[in-house]
Amino acid sequence: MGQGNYSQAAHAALVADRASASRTEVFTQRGCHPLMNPKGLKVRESRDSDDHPNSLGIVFALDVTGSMGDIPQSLATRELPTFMALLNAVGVADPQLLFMAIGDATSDQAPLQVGQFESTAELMDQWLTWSYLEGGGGGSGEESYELAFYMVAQHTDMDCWVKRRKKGYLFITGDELPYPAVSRHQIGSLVGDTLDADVPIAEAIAAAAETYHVFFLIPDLGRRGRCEKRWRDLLGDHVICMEEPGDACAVAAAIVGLTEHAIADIDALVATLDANTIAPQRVSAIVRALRPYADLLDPNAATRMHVPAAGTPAAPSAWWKRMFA
Amino acid sequence: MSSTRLVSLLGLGFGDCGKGLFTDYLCRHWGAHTVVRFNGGAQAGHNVVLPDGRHHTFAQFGAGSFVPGVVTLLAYPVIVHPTALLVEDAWLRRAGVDDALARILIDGRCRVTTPFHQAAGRMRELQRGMAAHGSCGVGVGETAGHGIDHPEQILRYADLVRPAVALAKLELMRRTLRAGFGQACAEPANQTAYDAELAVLDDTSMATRWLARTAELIRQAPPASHAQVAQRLHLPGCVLFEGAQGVLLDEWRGFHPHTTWSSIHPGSVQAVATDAGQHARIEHLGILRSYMTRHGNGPLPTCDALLEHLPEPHNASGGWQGRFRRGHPDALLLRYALQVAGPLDGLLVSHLDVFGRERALRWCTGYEADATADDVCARDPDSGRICAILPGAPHDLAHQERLGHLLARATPHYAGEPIADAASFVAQLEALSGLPVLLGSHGPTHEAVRKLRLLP
Repeated sequence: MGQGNYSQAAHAALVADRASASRTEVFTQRGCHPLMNPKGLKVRESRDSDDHPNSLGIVFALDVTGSMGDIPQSLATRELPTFMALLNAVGVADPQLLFMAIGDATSDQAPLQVGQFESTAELMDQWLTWSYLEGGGGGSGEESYELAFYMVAQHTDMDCWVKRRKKGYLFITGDELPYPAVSRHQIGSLVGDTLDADVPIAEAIAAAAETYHVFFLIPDLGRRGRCEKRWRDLLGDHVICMEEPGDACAVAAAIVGLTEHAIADIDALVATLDANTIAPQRVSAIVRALRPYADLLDPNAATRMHVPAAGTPAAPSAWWKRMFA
Repeated sequence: MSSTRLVSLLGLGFGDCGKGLFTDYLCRHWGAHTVVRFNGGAQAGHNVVLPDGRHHTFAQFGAGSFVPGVVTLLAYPVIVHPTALLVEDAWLRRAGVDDALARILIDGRCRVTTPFHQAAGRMRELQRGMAAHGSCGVGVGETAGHGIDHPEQILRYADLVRPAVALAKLELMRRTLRAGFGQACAEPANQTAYDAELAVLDDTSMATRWLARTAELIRQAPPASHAQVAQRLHLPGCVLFEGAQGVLLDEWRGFHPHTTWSSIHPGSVQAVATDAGQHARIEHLGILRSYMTRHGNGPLPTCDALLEHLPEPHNASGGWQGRFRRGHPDALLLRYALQVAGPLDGLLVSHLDVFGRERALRWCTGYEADATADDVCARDPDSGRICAILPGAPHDLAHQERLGHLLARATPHYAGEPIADAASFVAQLEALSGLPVLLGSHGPTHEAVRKLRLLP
């Protein structure tokens, strides 16, 4: 009977790795990865293939400044498999995921990093962990989120849209305001495109929304105050206020499922999350975050409102009304 | 008539009986092209020493790997420990074998043990405190158990080429295993060690990092298809089935709970051959050491501290498994082992040189014990001593546990005369077992193996 020498050594090595693993070890990039540099980028394609005949393009534009870097880290270390499993569970067969990293173009070294659309978690993970988490961010209360709208509108091409007229998804995570316009100077220096003028943020959003369902995810309730109103003006119910950043994947997967009508309603969503071993308290938080958007999609939502909407039939009178009538 | 000769090597004790030595010898002697591991996992430890002094403890690679060209097949249902396999490869390189990974075939259906299983298995053992089972701390048992409770979560070797699938399963496993443990260890003295293992189960980045390591293995040893496995087992020449552990540690025939999750039986060899469509007759050879040994916890009735001076260069006490014990040869345990192993074709015996050094070794021929376990043993009508222990019905762990209790409190009764020399030991062994002793070893290397009978 053996002593398990080699497995002890293997175990010890992994545990030792863990002791020193930190954000800087998962994300080893010390500047923009050459393959994620948007300079000269023509188009990122999401294409059908034999293996993935029904592709659906999904873009995660992650704010990587300051504490927002927690989201890429939790994606890389924990949530990516959950995201894929959930998409699968809600019947989205062939998701193709592109990661973008967003910083502040007025102060950061690498304010825009763009991966490729990928179908396997391995390759998704590769782009994600190639992202350079700058960790800085400007002090102006703004980040260059508008670049994400510009990039998907101008530099992506998806079979789901071209062949099937199905929009892709753009999820931006962030806790700050966008700049009011896409700066033509920044686009010139970062991407190399020549614009005649700055593009107002609303126009950039409208252009992206032609081919994408666009969402802005705020990581926790504490950071709503900084930016929610402005984003509501721009995106309405497509602003999702989460209760903790770790829910980003489950929330995004749920949005895809609900929007695609792959999940019937919130009740079905709860069942799906439960079945995928999401902890009950997280399920509740995810439902609270998604309720307004889910109600938007649900024709029967009005009947569940506390305040009856105009035109809905009056509820049958309660027993006490009859007693006192 | 198949031109493939199939021979299995099955330990008849608690392990440490010389399987490594005899596998190495037979690979050379019969020119075996393949060594099949058909049971257990990384907890095996088969020592091979070469005449030039090089040594390796084979855990997952077949013990024939020092012989150039010999291929190791990890057959389903072996439980594979991928990262340990990489470490073992690195050690083999130091011993001068630089192509071991190029000579291994791993069935894609093999279950894979993960850092989470290893941690969970250790935590269970730590919780047992003084009642520890003597686990190797490798996670083999935990992996097997997990696969029974949650078949959909179990990771197969072939899953490792699909990282998305693997990651999803790993996360499910991690959560499932984690849910079974609280913060406090039931045995407070082990709290620190327990915390270290709990941190593995809490570590959400472990799966990614572990998977990145396994990618290196997959690149060099991609999962083998059923057809590749079958082809290997049909190649003309000799195939050796190298059993891990010994039948007294068998999951069903050992003394519960001091057993390992591994089936050490001609039936498991037969199952692997049949699965590959190989129906040639298999010769089954039993292997034992001239005296009893045991690693870790569990009964060893003939244990004798006076034997501790017997040299044991490769089985140090300590480490995860604990003490290494030595005992006199035990006729009851041998008969029991032969009975549960079923028909064998011959025996191979190691450590025959002990009789040149140790004059006090005696055969244990009976046990003195009270009558509380009389339904699991037979008594000699004349002396009233227990003269046989009885296997239970298949899969009757309660019976096996009673046997273990009996053995734990039995006082051995020894034959009057010490064993004079190797020749008389071999003669006694043949009389006792009714089997020919084909090979005997008188030292650590294949050069010290002597043919005692004409080999078939």
